[in-house]
Amino acid sequence: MNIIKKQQEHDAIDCLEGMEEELYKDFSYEELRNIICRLKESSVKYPDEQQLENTITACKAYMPKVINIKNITKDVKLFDKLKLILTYCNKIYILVSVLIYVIGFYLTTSGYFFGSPYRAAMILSPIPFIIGLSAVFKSRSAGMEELEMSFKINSIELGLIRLVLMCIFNNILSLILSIAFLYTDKSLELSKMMICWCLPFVTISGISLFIAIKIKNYNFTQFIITLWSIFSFIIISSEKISNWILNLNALVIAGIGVAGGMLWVYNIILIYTRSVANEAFD
Amino acid sequence: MLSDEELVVEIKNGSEAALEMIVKRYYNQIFCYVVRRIKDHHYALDITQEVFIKVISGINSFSSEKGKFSSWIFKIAINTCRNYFKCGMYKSTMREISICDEIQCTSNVISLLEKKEDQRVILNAINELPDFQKEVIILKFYFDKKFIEIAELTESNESTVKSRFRQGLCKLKVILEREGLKSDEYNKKTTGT
Repeated sequence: MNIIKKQQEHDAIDCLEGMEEELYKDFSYEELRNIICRLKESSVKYPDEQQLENTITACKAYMPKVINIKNITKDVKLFDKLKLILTYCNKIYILVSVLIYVIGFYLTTSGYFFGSPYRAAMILSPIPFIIGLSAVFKSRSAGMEELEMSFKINSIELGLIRLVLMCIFNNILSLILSIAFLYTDKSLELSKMMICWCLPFVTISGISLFIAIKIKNYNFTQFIITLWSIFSFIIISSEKISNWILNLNALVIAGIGVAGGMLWVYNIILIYTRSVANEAFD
Repeated sequence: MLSDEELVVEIKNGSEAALEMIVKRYYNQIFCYVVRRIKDHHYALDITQEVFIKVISGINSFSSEKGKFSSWIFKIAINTCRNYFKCGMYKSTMREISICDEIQCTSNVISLLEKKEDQRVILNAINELPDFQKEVIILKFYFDKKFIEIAELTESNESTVKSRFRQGLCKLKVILEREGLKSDEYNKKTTGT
């Protein structure tokens, strides 16, 4: 007991030493020491282990929820997402696509290449999509990574929105090109021109996307471009094939269109299925 | 050993192990503070639990740049006790249970009774102090906090804290003299003369 008392007195003296004289001018040293000793003497029995465990159990219910990207993305409105996507759209991609179409238009109208506007539309129509596809699957590029890291949009949504935007952009370009051709050459038919850019676009974009999902590395771009180059070469070198395409039966055209559309739906399902494991856009 | 701040990061990431460690690290300290403030052992248990629930549910608002975790948790404990005193229920349910019932030392019956009586006097004396003075006295003597730390915890300035401390001590002296625990009597008890 005496050891405890001595320790308490020692603590009290320590306590006093840290204080300014002004604070205890109304006390004698002994008085102050005794008050502090008395205060320090009172002890508290700690709660038992069960009380501690109860508190831990109660606290567990209030643990912060780990951030779930999917939940956050639900809170962001579609319009805001589109705005974000447009902010990060690669300007170089847009410029290159426009440039390809402008050069294609110039080469066709000046008679240097392609031969006919129909062939030009057939060859050019899927090119912006093929180029853009590689950028979508390389979503870890600087700008996109920043966007994804913001957790406002997840990589799956981001990829799909970009694909849709690419399709819209590609079709707008093709439509402008068609109008430009129709404006320069009055003998051209709008329906044929539409077939020339719609059919290759639907089939090639569907196949490209399918290959891109399956292959899952960036070499697929080279593969698709090579494939498309061979196809383009055949069309340019053989007038028969381009004429055959232009004179296809309406039912066949509709069939190709439906098949292309179904391939797109299948691809989107595939992307969503794979998104569970976050594989599709990695 | 992981620092408080490291444990907080782990808790923010959903680690229950880190939660257990931080509760175990501070449980007794917070309980001691609360029980000294509110006197009632059973209510102190509830309030201590409430303090930890507040800490965990608000853990995302804690930033180590703003200050130490130990200061933050004490601040929550101080505010929770203040709320308890503001609550009307406190006065109607206040029981005559004191820390004296929980004295650890049981060397013999006489010394236990003496000790119980002394502790009752001390605790009653502390409880007679106005709340803001009691806060300072408890933090200074039982938790060895510096005046600047107490000022930060109680959201007041250092000179105010010192003034409250001095006033508290003066009142304690008066109360203890009134209760018959004069320094000479105490000296006799402690020295055995």
